[in-house]
Amino acid sequence: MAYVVKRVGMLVVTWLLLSLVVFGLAALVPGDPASAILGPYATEERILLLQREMGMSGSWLSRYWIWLSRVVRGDFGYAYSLDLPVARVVWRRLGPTLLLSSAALCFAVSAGLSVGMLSARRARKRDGLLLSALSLVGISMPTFVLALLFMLLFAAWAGLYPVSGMHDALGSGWRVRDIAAHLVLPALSLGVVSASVIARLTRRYALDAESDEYVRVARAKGLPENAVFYRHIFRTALARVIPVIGLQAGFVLGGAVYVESVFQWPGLGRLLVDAVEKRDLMLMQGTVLVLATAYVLTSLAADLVQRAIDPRVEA
Amino acid sequence: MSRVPRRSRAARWAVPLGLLALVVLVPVLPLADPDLTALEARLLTPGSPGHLLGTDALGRDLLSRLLFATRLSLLVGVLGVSIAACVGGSLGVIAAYFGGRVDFLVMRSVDVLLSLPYLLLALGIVAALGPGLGHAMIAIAIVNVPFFARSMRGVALSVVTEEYVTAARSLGASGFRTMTRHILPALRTPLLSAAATSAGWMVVETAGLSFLGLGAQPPTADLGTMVGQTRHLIVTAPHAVLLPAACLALLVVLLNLWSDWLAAHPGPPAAARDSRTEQPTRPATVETEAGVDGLLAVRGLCLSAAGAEILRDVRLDVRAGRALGLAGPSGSGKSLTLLSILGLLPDSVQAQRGQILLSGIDIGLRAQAHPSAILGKRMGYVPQNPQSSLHPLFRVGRQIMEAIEQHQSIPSAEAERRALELLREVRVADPEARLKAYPHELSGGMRQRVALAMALANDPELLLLDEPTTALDATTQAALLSLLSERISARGLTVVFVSHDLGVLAELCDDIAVMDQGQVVEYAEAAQIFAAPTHAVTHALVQASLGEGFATRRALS
Repeated sequence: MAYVVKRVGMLVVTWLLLSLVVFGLAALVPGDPASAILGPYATEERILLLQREMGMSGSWLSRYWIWLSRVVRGDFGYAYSLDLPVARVVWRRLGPTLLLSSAALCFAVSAGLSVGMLSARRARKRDGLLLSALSLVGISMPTFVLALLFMLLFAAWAGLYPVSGMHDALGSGWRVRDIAAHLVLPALSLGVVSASVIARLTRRYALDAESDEYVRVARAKGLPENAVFYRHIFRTALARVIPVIGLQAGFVLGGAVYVESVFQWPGLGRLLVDAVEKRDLMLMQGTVLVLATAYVLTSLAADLVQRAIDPRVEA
Repeated sequence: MSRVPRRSRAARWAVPLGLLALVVLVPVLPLADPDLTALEARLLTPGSPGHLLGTDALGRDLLSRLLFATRLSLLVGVLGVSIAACVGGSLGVIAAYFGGRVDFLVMRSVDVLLSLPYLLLALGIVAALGPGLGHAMIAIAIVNVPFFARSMRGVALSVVTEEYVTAARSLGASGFRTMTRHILPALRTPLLSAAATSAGWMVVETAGLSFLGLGAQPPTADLGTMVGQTRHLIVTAPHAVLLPAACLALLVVLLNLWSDWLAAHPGPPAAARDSRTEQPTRPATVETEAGVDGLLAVRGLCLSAAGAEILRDVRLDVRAGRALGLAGPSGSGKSLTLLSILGLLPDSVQAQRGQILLSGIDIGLRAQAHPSAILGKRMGYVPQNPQSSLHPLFRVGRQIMEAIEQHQSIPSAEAERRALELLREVRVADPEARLKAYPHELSGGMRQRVALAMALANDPELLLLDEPTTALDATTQAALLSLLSERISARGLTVVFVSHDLGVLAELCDDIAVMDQGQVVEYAEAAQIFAAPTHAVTHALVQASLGEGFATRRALS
């Protein structure tokens, strides 16, 4: 319990620093956003007024404070490119992105762990080598290339799944089968790279554990090879791979940007690309902050799971 | 170094040189103008006359565009990696060199950057700077800085604490001089491999930003832009999309292969080792105990590893109820002999020939080929290192029960009761609580007792001990030895006990075999070994044991 409290405390500090980075991104912008929004004919007073409204007057610390206190209350500012409050857009888009990312992560974890363990179990056999070669190709595939490839192969040519249209599927009630069909290709293409990373590391950690003395002890107990491998070696590899899975959550949340663009997915990733294209800073900040928060929470979950698996993790 | 095979040196540079050739050659090759549009020749398929790979949506020659785009991706990748490596590497070295507050400040800021998914950070930076290939590259370089800072700090830290750097600093060498003279050379190889690791996906991520329309802008021939601009044609003209995509994937696979290769072949090899086979052979003065009526016999065991012979014609006989000690300096082959009996030789060791006879039956040298229920049932094994003899992630009780349940079909409540009994037998204090403990919660001596309990779980005839007391302090060692000797006589066990310490073996063993360089060089009753050692190694071991042995005996009494 003390561990959870401490870990949550660390999370708050991380989140505050992270919010500082997101806030600081705006400072990189040359020129003044308020005058950019109002155009070249704006009067001095109008600019000052808008600056105050956007929380952009005063020292950077006071501006950060104003921004942070608004963000904590759920007010992310105003998306000028959409003429809507940022919060309202972001919340609406959050669900689809979480659905996509968690499906992709589930696929990545289950495929990665099983491929990794199999290729370690059969490390010197031809199929084991094939699996590890496959995972090398997997980590090298750009997510957007995979998305396009899957779309062409399984949607356009084979006709197994819809090309896009999640927007309608989500909009027209909660039809699970329809949503699932729309989810398959995006989640697969988003998960492949992470699955390959997890597979490669699982394989390496499992082969490392092969030479551990307690594995020899397990064999000396007379356990069958499968029990040694899938019980003793797997547990060791899993404990080392969990933090990697936490990191992959970040990769998946970032990669959602590509997949959502290709499959016309109504999520935060596409919103972020639009925001960056139109240089709508408040919208960008809000989107990045929400996605980053999701990532930080996933890392917390990964830490807690690891703590449950590995009793040696210190409080 | 002359010992580096030429082929391995060639492979080290094959990928970078090949890619450099691409960068240099593409502009001088007789290619079509990559930017020349020809609307009447739009989206020609590969194989069309004059356009080997066809044309894109504006009738531009795809082959030419692909080569120029791959070249651009490479240049951008190399430049981005260089920026990230320079900035990140410097930060890492500075943090390691100055330590203290500087280290804290640098590494904490790096951690904060790492707590943001890197693509989001890159997008944020592009949002602030505005789209464009240069900005995309800078953004990707920045998000890679933490990776380089972290890994180079680790390397630099290990150099800084090395003696010669400390010496140079104490001699008053300036900080800058120390860094350039001592730290930078040590960084070269790790920096190269870190750069190789990140090069692949820096190319991917920069291309990704271009794909989203935030990097290179049309009409620049850029792989990401080419895929992004034509992606709506994926169904009608797949080649226009898939060819640049394939180029990108191929480039990245190549870079990652190279990085994998570098990781598997780190730097020049260590100084050449002298081969053991060149040692003059010395005839073994083995006095074999007569008869095959023994419980265990090792016959003509020869092992090799990496082409060199490491065990030569080892013969041992252990009659039921007797304890054999295997002594010898480290590397003499005594542990390998023990592992051969278990059938658990590492895969790197090949068994040339030899037999392991248990009650006169050849059980083979690999446990997979054992007749049923030998390991854990007829043989128990206690390893050397208490730090690693138990699985760190399973409770102690579970590990003992696992050994019991493997060979006896009994309900788990009954198995637990027996595990408890076993813990009592090896005199673990508070056994009920220990059942639920994890190994790291026990002391070293306690863990070895648990390992012994597991070895005894199924009432074996033969107990194989691989230096079980070596890593323990003298008092704990003495206590464990007296427990062992008590259990051995109470259960009437047959024992093979490996140790480099004759003093320890003298406490427990009836016979002793001394090994050296993969051979049994002396084999006799324990008393005789001590009274009249004939071999030089035995003599040295006897001498060495006198000091330690006294300490052990004193602790015992």
